Amino acid sequence: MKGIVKTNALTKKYHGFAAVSEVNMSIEKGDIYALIGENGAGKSTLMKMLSGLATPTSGEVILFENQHPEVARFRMGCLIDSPALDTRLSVRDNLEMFARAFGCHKAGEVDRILELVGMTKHAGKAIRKTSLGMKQRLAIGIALLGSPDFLILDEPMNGLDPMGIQEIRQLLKKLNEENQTTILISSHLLDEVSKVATRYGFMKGGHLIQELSEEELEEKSKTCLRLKVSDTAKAAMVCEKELGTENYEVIDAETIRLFDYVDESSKVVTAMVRGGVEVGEIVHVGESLEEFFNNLMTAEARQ
Amino acid sequence: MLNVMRASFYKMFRDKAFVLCLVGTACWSMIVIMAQVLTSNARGIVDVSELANRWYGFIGLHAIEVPLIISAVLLFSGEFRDKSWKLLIAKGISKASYFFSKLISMLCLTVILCFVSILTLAIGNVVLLHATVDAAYVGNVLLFFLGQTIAHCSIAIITIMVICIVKRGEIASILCLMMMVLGYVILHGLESALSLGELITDYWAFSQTAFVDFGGVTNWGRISIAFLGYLVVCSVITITFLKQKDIE
Repeated sequence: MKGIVKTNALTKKYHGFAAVSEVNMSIEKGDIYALIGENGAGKSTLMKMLSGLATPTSGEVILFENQHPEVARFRMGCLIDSPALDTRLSVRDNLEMFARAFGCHKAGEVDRILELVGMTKHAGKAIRKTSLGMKQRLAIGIALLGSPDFLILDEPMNGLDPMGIQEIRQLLKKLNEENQTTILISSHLLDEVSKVATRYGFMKGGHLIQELSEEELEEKSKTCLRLKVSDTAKAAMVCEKELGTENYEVIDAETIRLFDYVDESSKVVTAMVRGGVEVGEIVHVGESLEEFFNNLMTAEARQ
Repeated sequence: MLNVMRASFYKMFRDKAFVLCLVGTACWSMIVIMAQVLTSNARGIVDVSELANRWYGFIGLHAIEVPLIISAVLLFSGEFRDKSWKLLIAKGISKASYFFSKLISMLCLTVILCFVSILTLAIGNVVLLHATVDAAYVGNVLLFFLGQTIAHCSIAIITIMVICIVKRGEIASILCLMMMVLGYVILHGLESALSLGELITDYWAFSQTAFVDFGGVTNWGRISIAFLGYLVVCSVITITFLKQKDIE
């Protein structure tokens, strides 16, 4: 896999306060990396350092396997914080202006972008007269000018209506699948992010506390029945012989997780009792990304 | 850098403010001539055509400086207000390249505004003050245009520096206008206190227009040195400032 971004102990301090602290992350080509964290976790600061808007206090950012930053950033597209548009120009003029500034001389590039972000109908509209959702679409369009290899999108779904969110999600998926565009995305809409992301980075207090792949997160947030039993060896035997499944996991001396029969807990209890296993507790366990995130944040706060 | 300049010119010619600036500059120049005519009696000038060769009076009323400062703020401070300049930096354009592209655009704007202003003054001079149009008059107007452009470039450099550092259009315009009105007085006070003669004010950006004479002797050396001096000093200050700060 080709490395797109690698950070080594990346730190940013503002007046002694570490907004980002010792972050080591890596993003490979083709990843859709979701950066997840509460407000003030350091997501935007990290994105600003990656895009060259903020200078790291210490540590380093390696882009496109050590390409010169100015060359590497030419291959990137960014949407950081609120949409940065020229309010005195129209939608089309903004795209035309940035296309010139970015050196995109390809004929029809502006029309292609207008089409991609669904703004063709509003091309002549003055920015002042557009809604936040339209501004957001245009800002995403500007980030897409010149077909960048790596996109940094900070809260791209902000201000979009449900239809808009769906369209942008599909657009990101399409870019990733067809052009192998690598995407770093942050969002508060965790369930939306989970529909596109292939890797996750969880941030708290400026630290990157956990990195997970899509599969790892799926595994962690898998729906199952968690049983507290008198004898896990006997319980495992019941699972195999009585219930006919090997899809279980012994956690400790008295806990076992069963990934089948999730909606048939009474059947499981009956089988256990029949097999001579005492069931002290049976809990339906299953976490959405939101629940996983909340539990992770709570656990981190306790530490 | 060339791409950013192309974008700046695209924006400039698409922005209604630019047309407004050109029209405003022409109107302001016309008002300056009218003011000269209307106040001629009070100054004991019997024949108004006597004013035809008093170009220092036109320029002395800030015929180009005021429109230049207002136009620069209108056209260049928006990128900082809207934070659209961060997209250019994020695309790998260095802060130094960004500044120089804006500086060159600003110098081009100065040439355009000087051209509009002096052309209006020259036409107004003929129409209102009955100046004789001959080869000598045209030659003097062209030399005056060249001299005033160089002199106003020093002002343009200071203005773009203030815009890049202050980043807020309204504050930048107030600061530049204050420098225009009060700068000379303050600096003259300073050089008097330090017994420096006129060493500082002779090179003060807003004083340079006084060294360009219509049909007379223009101090080309002084206005060129001032221009180059401001170019180097203001560039170093602005780039150092921009490099030190993160973009919010």
